[in-house]
Amino acid sequence: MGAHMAANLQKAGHDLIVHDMRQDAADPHIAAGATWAESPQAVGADSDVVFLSLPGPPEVKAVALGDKSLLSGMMPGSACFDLSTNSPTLVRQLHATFVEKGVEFLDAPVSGGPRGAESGKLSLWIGGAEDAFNTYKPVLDAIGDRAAYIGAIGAGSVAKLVHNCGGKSVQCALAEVFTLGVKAGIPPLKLWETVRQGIIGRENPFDSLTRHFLRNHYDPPDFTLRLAQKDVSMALELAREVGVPMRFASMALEEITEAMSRGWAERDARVAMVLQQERAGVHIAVDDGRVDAAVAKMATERAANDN
Amino acid sequence: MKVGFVGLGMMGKFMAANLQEKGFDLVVHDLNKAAAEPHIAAGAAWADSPKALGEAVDVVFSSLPGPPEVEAVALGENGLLAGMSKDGAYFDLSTNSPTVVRRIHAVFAEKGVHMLDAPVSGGPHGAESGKLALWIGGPEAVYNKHKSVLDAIGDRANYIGDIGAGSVAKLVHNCSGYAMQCALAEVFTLGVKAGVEPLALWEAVRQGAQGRRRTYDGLINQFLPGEYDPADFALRLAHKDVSLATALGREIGVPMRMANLALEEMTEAMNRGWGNRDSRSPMILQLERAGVEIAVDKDDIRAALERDGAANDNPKPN
Repeated sequence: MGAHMAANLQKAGHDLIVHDMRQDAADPHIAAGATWAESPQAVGADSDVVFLSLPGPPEVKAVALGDKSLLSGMMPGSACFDLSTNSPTLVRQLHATFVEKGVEFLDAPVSGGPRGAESGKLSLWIGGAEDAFNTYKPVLDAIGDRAAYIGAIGAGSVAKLVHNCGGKSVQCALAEVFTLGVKAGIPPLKLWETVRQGIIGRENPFDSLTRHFLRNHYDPPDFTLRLAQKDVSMALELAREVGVPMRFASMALEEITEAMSRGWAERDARVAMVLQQERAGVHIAVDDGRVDAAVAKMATERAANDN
Repeated sequence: MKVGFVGLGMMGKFMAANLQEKGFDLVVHDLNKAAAEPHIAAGAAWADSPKALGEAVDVVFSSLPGPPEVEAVALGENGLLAGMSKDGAYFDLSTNSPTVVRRIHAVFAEKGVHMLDAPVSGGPHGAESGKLALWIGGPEAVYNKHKSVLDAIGDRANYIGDIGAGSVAKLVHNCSGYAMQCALAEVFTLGVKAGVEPLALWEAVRQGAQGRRRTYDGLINQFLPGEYDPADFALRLAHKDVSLATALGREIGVPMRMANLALEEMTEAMNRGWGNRDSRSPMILQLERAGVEIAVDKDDIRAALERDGAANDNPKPN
């Protein structure tokens, strides 16, 4: 990831100082005019703003605070953006330590994969001081086309973990239902092409949240919980019949059944999502006007992006 | 062609109205006769029973809550089968059990009547606008013969396979939606409890890799072709991400049943030595548990994307 992001900063004309555990990784950047620094400390001493793209918390902590650390080199008034997928707790600790020395620390995890890092079609989710975000926005824009300020320090990392963790649970659920469909006799590609034309397949996984969950509106129903229970029950019966274990779908049916026992049968099927809010001690109810505006904004950006 | 329609509920009323608008001569029946009034006012005939309806038309559609209602309408006393003639066709638009539709199909076939499953996807809005997918299982010749009627109901009528295939596809689709819904409720409660405003969180993830593509498009590069090397994103790193998320859940007190289960899958895959394979490789574990192999030719996947007609908007397979 870092190779592509650093290259894009160079292409945008920023004067780059680089460091990596393996110096040969820096060769293409040095060939393109970047300066090599022997340590994170040396990078910090010569830069106004520093970006880190590392595997995870231990590596970030070592670079930020370890031997010849970044912090020991950085000047008051400079800023560090951590592009790694990191623990919100650790970035908050680092933030506190950096701020004591007058250095801004922001978390700025990215989403888009190596291809996005290369093409610049990359989201950056920034948590920390909003004025530092604004100051360095042109530099962030050189890395990705969607740099967005999310909130206080750690907020970018929280959004990233929500995104990636959600993706992995969804992946398990999809593996289940596809093995069910294939074992029940539909060739895999035919099945994929088919469900892709359904209401779920025509959109991304997050858009349906704008209709009920974010607004906390489950009445009147678009599709009743009672009918959802019937559908998932039939899917699980089929799975037992053809011999496909369905851990995630079984858990989903338990949620739906619990919601039915609350007397929610005639409410919208998404009302089962209220149970998790209760378990977590969280209440989500975003004002309709704000949700509508965000949906409209997203549609406009999407249209602009497609052109 | 005379068309019969049984079940004028939330979905049925729109589909029946669209058939009328396209000029088909309609005969309708519902347990609640009042539901038929708008259709009768628009020129439809009323039938007192499914049997009477079956006697009056060439092709019948039903849109009903589920298996018991469909069995009663199809096979009950004064049911469709008692009225329909040889070579007639019956399409069940309900979301039904593949086992039940196969049984009904067999009983109808004995009398020379064709029964096909044709569940729809698109919700009431899709039923009203005609932006509706219909997934048909049964004899392909009967599907082809009635394609113009199916096209009057939805813009994406597709033949899936033998009897029951449409219902299997529908159950796969809907079941994935409910499992995903639980998973997303979990991660959103995590994000909100960790201090991010719900709409800001939605806007952020909506711009991420998962939010920028259609739900099933993440299956294109690894799961469908059955190729998990080289890694697009290493399992080792994905394992770290989900570990961080579940650790955060424990720290702030958010139970995460599905994410913990996902982490167990990933840990098991790591123990197979797959740490440097793609992070989708844990999906192989489910293929093993189900006794299913999936390895689709990449050229066939490309062709499918082109067939979709929105090819410009589509991701390119590796």
